[in-house]
Amino acid sequence: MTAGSPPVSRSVYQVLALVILFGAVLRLWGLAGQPPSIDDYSVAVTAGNYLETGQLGPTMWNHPALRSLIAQGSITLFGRGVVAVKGFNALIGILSLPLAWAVGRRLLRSDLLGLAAALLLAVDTLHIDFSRQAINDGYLTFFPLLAIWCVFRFHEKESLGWLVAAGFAFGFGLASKWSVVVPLAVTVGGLGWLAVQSAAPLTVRLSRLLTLAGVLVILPLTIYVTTFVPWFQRGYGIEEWLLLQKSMYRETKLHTGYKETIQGQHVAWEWFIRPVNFRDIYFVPPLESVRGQGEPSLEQNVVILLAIANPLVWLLTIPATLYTGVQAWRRRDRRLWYLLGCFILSYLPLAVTSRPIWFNTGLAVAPFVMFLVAYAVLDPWPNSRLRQRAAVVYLGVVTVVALVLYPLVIGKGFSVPVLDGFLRTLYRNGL
Amino acid sequence: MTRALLVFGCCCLAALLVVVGLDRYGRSCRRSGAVGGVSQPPTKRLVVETPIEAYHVWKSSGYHGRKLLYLSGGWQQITPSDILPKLDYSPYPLRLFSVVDTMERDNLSDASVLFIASYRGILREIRAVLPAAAYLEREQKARSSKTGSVGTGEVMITYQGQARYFTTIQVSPDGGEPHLVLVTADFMTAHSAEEVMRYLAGVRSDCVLLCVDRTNPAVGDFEQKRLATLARLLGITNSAVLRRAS
Repeated sequence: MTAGSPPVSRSVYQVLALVILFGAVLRLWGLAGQPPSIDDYSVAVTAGNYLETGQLGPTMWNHPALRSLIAQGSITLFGRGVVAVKGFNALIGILSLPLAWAVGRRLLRSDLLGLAAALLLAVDTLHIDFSRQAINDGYLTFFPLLAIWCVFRFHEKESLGWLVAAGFAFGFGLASKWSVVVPLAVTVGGLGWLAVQSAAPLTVRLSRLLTLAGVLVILPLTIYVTTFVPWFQRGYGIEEWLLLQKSMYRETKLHTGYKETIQGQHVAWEWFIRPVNFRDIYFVPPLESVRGQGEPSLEQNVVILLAIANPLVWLLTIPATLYTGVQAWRRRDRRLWYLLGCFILSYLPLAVTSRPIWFNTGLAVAPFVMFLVAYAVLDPWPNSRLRQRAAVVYLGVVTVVALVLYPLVIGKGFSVPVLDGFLRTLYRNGL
Repeated sequence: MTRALLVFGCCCLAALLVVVGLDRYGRSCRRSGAVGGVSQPPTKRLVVETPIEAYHVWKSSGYHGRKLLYLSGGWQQITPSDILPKLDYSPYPLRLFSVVDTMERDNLSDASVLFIASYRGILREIRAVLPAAAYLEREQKARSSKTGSVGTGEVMITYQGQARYFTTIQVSPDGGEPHLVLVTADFMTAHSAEEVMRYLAGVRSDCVLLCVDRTNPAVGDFEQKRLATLARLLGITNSAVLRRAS
């Protein structure tokens, strides 16, 4: 990584504003009318329970506690409606888009590629789905992006404040799910390597390493521990907290779901080989006023939220990674190495693990996927004019596919004749 | 270099303050009564009819964040999902409720007492002292459980991070932190009152409860008589429940 960020033209800001607006519409459209799922409900009940008793459950107890703190804070402020339950996730889902641009333009050294990555994330079905839910997988995209952007700002400005902000963002990420430890480790490793390799005097290099250790290692861990305050209220000491961490680790390592049976196959190595999906299916009882007026129907009383990975993006990931690897090698580009490190080290443990990995975990790698694909699709064009045309065509087709898949993500699949038939075929046995 | 040292030092100091502060805070949240030996004042010593009554004694005494020494004839395995409130569909505004109050109201039973007391935060750790056969059954369970671990004469299985230790009367209890003590009558099938007294001799406690456990089919006259002897040895002489047991 090198210091300095090129100035941004007015037209780039205009396009970015459109991308954010489009992404916001996709995340907020009909959100108030989307019935809360059992997961949404569980998150709210678990949050209240955490603040009342310090117990991490009933659901998802093996993940760190930030989600419950934010959810309960939101419920306290905004009540028990959709804004309280999903407002924060929708907000960070939207804020992830300018962050994807801000990080993308620095990693890929191009405003166009940054915009492309932001648009890919804006129309990504999985990211849209979890921006509209109460569970906290959207944090896995937002906090690392925020932290990496702060690290870039620190590098550009040489201002400690930005590094401290990055430390906080990584800390909140760690307190969301442990998977954020990977981009944190790659970032610390990368910055540490830069410090060691620099031509500065030994004392300066040591100073940088000390600062990194304090701000990007100790500070995030401190924030992580702090989110367990309600748990300590149960009378526990720090020794018992370590035992809790061990239990959480063992549960996470061997996790097979919170329900008694697992339906379908959930393996991460398939994510970039065939179109995979994440689904929520739940029953919404008829309203009191229409109860007794016939049987509940599939269309009226069953909600299916189905996020099918956009094949024009997710299936390009492996070739995009190979292309980026070759370019990183040829150009000796540290930023591309950093991107590859974040992606590969985040993804490989998921791909090789033997326990089920649901596709929602894909949000931990989603921003890196968007950067890699945007780079591999648009970088090879010989000049900016052709690159811009390629971007318009590729992103246009991706957006069209995303819009076709969109009704499925928001639970309106039965309203679209073609998708209605698709859903009935897909879930004929399951329903 | 000075600035880097300062930054590093500040981060370390903040971490240290947080860790020490949380440790102190956690310990300060524990609530107990006057502590003494198990057979003398000021320790509260009572005979209760059922485990549910024991729960109410703990709750009304304001105990919180405590270790329980639980001497019982067996460990009643429960399925948490049977006790936790069921979440049916709720439209907005969500019907939010207290999980622990709902469990206590709808599902408090002799079998669920320890689960709900743990959930409420009355108990933070359970050390169950079991007869040999029941202990071996727990050992098998710990070996197959993803959150179990097997030690020497003691196994541990955690539930959502809460430690439950299982052991036998052969392993001496921890004499450090004061415990709540609960002895159920079915423990007396395999152990005499004198054995139990020897075991409890080094234990510090603020509340020792003997549970007659009348609804337990494994408890008969033999167990009741041994429990009555234990009650006398503990200095519990004026309990109506005990007189009925005798």
